[in-house]
Amino acid sequence: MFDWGKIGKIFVENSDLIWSGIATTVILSLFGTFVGLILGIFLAYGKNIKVRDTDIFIIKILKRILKGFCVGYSVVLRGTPMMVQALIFKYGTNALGLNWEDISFPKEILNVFNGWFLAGLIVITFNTAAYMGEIVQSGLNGVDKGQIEGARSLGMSGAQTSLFVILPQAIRNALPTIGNELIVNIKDSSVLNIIAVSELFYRLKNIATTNYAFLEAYIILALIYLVLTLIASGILKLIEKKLDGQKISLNPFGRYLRARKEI
Amino acid sequence: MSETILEIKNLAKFFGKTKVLRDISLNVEKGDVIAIIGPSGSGKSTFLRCLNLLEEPTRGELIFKGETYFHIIKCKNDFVDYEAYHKALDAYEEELVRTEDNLAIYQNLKIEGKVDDSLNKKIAKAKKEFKEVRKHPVQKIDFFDSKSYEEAIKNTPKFSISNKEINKIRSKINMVFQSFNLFENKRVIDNCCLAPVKVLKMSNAEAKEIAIKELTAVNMQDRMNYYPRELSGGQKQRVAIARALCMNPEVILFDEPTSALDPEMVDEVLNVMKKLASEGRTMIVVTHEMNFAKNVANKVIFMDKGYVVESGNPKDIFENPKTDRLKQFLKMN
Ligand SMILES: Nc1ncnc2c1ncn2[C@@H]1O[C@H](COP(=O)(O)OP(=O)(O)O)[C@@H](O)[C@H]1O
Ligand SMILES: [Mg+2]
Repeated sequence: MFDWGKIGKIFVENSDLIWSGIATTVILSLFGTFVGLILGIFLAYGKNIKVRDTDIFIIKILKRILKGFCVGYSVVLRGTPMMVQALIFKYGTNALGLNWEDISFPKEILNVFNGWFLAGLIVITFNTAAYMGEIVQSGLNGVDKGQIEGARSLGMSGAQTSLFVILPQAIRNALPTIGNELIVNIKDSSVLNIIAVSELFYRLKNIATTNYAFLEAYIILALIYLVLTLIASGILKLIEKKLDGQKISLNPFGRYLRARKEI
Repeated sequence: MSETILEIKNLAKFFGKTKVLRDISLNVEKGDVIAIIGPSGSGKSTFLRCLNLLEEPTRGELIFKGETYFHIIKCKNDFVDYEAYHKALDAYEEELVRTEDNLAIYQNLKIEGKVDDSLNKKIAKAKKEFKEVRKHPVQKIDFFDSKSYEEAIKNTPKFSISNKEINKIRSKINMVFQSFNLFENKRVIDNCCLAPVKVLKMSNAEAKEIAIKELTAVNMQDRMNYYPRELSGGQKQRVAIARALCMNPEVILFDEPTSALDPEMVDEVLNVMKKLASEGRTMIVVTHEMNFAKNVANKVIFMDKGYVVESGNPKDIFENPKTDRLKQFLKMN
C-alpha cells in the first residue's frame, strides 16, 4: 500500500505548482461556463430563427445561413470530443501561422497565464457554448407561452419580452443543468493537457513523473477535483436558493411563518 | 356627448379555411362595459385578441380614437350583402329539413302498414315539395372559391403598421387573461412596474408609486413582495388587473377572467371589475358570469359560430331574447 505521509510531503513540496494548476482549472471552467452560456444564448436564438414568408429575399437568405450555421455548429461541437477539438484547433491555428507558445502575458500571476492557457480558454468556451445552446433552447421552450402574451399585451416589444421576462425564466429553469455544465467543465478541462495547458491534471502528471510517485500524485489530483466539484455544487445550490427569493428553506413551514410575519 | 374609443368594422378572422370571426362590427364608447357571451368555440377570445393585434385579423378595419390601426379591405368575392345571404341560406336549410322530415313521417306511416289513398297522395305531395325546395338551392359561397386562402391574402391590399405602432396600441388596449400570465420571475410589485418603465419610460420611483396605488385599489398592497406562485388564483387575477391599470389603458379586454378560478374566488375578482366599471373604465369582457353581464354591462353581445347573433342592452338580451339560439343558450346557463 501507499504512504499517506508521502502524499502529504509531495503536496507540500509542490504546493506552488499545484496551486497554479488549481487556479488554471478554476479560471478555465468558470470562464468557459460563463462566456459559453452567453454564446449559448445567442446560439439558442439563432437555432430558433423563423423565416417568414413576408421577409424580403435577402433577409430570408441571411436568416437561413445564420440558422444553418447555429444548427451545424451545435451538431459538430457536441458530436466530437473536446480533446480532438483542442488538437484540431492547435494544429489548425499553427497552419495559419499562429503559434500559441510565442504569446505571453505582460503580467504573470501564479504562473497561470500563457499562450496555451489562452488557447485552452478558447477551446473550452466554444465547446461549452454548443452545450449551453441546447440547454438554453430547451429552457426557452419550457417557458409558458402565456408569459409572452402577457408581456406583449402590455405593449412590450419582442426584445424587451425576451430580455426581461422569457430569458430570465429560461435561465432560472435551466440553472441546475447549467451548473452541471460547470462541474463537467472542472473535470473535463483536464483533456486540455493535450495542448499543454498547464491545468491541474497537467501539473500533477508532471509532479508524478519528476517525483516518481504516480499513485500519490493521482490521489492528490482526485481529491482536489472532488473538493472543487463539491464546492461548486454547494455554491450553485446557494445561488438557486437565493434566486427563489429564500423561499425554499429546509424548514417546510418556513414559507408560512414568513407569510404570517408579514401580515 | 360620448366619445368613441374603438370602432370595429367588418372584422373577420380565418384560420386557414376555418372561419372563426365573420364580419363583426362594433362601436365602443368611452365608459362602455361590453359583455360578450356565447358558447365556447364561438370566437370570443379570437375577437378580443384581434382587437389588440395579438392575432392578425384577416380583414376589416380597426380604429382607435379616430385613427386607423388596422385595415385590410377586400378579399375576393367580398361585397356580398351578408345579412341577406345568410338569411336566405338559413331559410333554405330550414325548408330542406322541414320538407324532408315531412316526407319521412308519411313514409314511416306507410311502412307501418297504414296505407290508404289519402296517405299515398300526401306522400306524393311531400315528395314534390321536397324536390321543389332542392331545385332552388342557395349556393354556399366559398369566399375564396378557386384560389387558395393564402393566394387570396397575397392579393389583398394590406394596411401596414410598424411593430412600434402595434406596441403603442397594445399599451393602450390592455388584456387580462383567463390564465393570468403574470411574470413568474418577478415579484408582484415588479410585475406592475415592468411595462410602465420599459414601455411608457416612467422612472422607477414614479412607476412604483402608481403600482402601489393600483395594488391598493385591488386590495393586494400587502402582497407586493410576493412571487406569483405564492398567490391564490383570485389574488393573481387581481394583480393582473392592477398590472393593466398601471398602464392607464383606454380599454381593458378581459378574456374569461374568472373561468380558471375556484368558485369562492370568483367574487373577489368580479367585485374589482365592478369597481372599475363604476369608475368609468372602458371594458370589453368575455364572460360566463351572466349576473355580471346582466347587472354591470351596459351592452351585451351574444356570439355564436363567429357571428354576432344578437346584441343590445342587457335588459333586452336577457329578458327578451329574439333568436332561438340565444334563448337556448340562456336556458343552459
Ligand atoms: N391559432 C388557432 N389556429 C386554428 N384555429 C384556432 C386558433 N385559435 C382559435 N381557433 C379556433 O377558433 C375557434 C374559436 O376559438 P375561440 O376564439 O377561442 O373561441 P371562444 O373563446 O369563444 O371559446 C375555435 O374553433 C378554435 O378551434
Ligand atoms: Mg375563449
